[in-house]
Amino acid sequence: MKARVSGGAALMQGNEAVAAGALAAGLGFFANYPITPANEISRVLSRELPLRGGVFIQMEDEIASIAAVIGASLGGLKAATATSGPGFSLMQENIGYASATEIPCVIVDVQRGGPSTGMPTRPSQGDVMQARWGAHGDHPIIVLYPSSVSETYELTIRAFNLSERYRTPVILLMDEVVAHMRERVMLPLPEVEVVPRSKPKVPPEMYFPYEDGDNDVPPLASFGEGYRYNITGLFHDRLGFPTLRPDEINPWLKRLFGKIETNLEDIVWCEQELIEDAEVVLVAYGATARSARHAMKLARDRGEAVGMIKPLTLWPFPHIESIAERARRIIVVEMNRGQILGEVERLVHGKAEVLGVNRMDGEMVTPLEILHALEI
Amino acid sequence: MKGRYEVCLAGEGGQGLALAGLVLAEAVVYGGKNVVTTQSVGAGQRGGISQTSIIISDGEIDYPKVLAADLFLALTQNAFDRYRSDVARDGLIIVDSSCVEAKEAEGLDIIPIPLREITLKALGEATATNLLALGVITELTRAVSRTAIRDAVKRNLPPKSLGLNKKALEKGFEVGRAIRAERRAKPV
Repeated sequence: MKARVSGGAALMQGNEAVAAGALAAGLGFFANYPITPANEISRVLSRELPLRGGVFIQMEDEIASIAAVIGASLGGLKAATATSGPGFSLMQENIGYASATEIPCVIVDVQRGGPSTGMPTRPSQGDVMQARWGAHGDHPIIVLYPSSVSETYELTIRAFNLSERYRTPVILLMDEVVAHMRERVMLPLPEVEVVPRSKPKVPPEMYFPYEDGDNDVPPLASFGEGYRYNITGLFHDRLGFPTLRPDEINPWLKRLFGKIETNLEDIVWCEQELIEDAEVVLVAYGATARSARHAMKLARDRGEAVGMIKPLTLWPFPHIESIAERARRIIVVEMNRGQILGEVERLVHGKAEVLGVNRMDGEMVTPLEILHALEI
Repeated sequence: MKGRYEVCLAGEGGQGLALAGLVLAEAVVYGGKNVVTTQSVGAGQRGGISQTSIIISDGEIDYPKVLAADLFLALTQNAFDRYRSDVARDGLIIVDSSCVEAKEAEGLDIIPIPLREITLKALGEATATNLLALGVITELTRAVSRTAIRDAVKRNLPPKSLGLNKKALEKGFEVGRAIRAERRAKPV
């Protein structure tokens, strides 16, 4: 990164903040295949990572990229990749593999208009459900979503931390607006706690990589350290060998989901603003949260009781249903056809009116469009 | 929003407006104000409309794109036609009259300047038209100081072309100052 410093203030781009956050989190391996609008991440890391003793590889495609990342993580390095919709589609099978084998890794998806090659240079939030359910089979996943450059830095570090703490793939979902936006940040960037990987404290013959441990997350031995165990995408027993026995599968599934579901307080981060007296609550994330906040301020200036909720952890989706006890209307603002709208409707369960303000044409939702929805 | 100043730079991919926007935004940071800059580009490298928004504010900036531009620079006819309706009622429009035909109508405050021709004449080539335009904007908006812009140019332009670009910028300051003096003298 070119240091753009003056009296503590600097101009930084969202994608550059991903690279800076990954380096601060201790990234050791990055493999990717180039794609707009994620390219600045690899542009920075291809230079900076080798200088710090890490490995940067441009692979032959996205499938190979995520496979290399999983392998590197098993070798003991914090590993990540970055892509956009078309590449994210290709990565899904191996994301499921990382989830089932409980191998930490971070996948950055800077969304662009889709489906297919879509609109490479234009923003979208169309991968929200793919980030949740893109890999086949029931599986837990953590998805984080920033709305500013400084949040991007912080959430990138958080993505690595959660990935290591819960032995799970974590997806940092972004949109083109925040990825390409340059914004004023204060340097040095804030110190964020970095979570190291938990290593086995028992001798190799007593190590079980899939056995219940503290907080349902067993430590992970790196390949080459003398701990011999099996890795397979098939349902497996505590040593990692395939099994079809329900008495082995059910405890494993319980632990796989439980490690996320019993730690929601640590994992879920959701900001609320001015909702105490709000009759209408806006729900928005990423770039659209900026449109929503702008609209909320304009509405408040007109004396309207409008508040907002911004989930920074998009999956597991925050339990926001209590807002329906006060608010008469909830407006979900998204650059998609209402992927979170459905989730909000499910949670609110008819206790408040739920509406969407949606755009899918490669343009941001404007504050004016949200104000119009307030007037309905 | 209070204290929000919006700049919209639009032209064709390859004209260097994203770079001009980056330099302007960085100069704003040096000046101690808040800034957000975003781009809107076509899928191709050259051709197609390229647009850069620079939002300047003393306070927080939520919506990062242009709502109603206080300053609009258009380097091509397509860019002018596409974004002219996004200009604030009292906004200032600068068009490169070497390439854009802008009828002075609808009560818009349009300043036609042959930016490309001036650059060509002063430097023998037109590649630095973006920096010349940046110089003009700096003088006309006074949102940032000349010193801050000079610093930002030094930090962001490759050494190879720095000399040429610095000359274009200084020429732009000169053109901008002349227009400012002329506008002050003109009866309202």
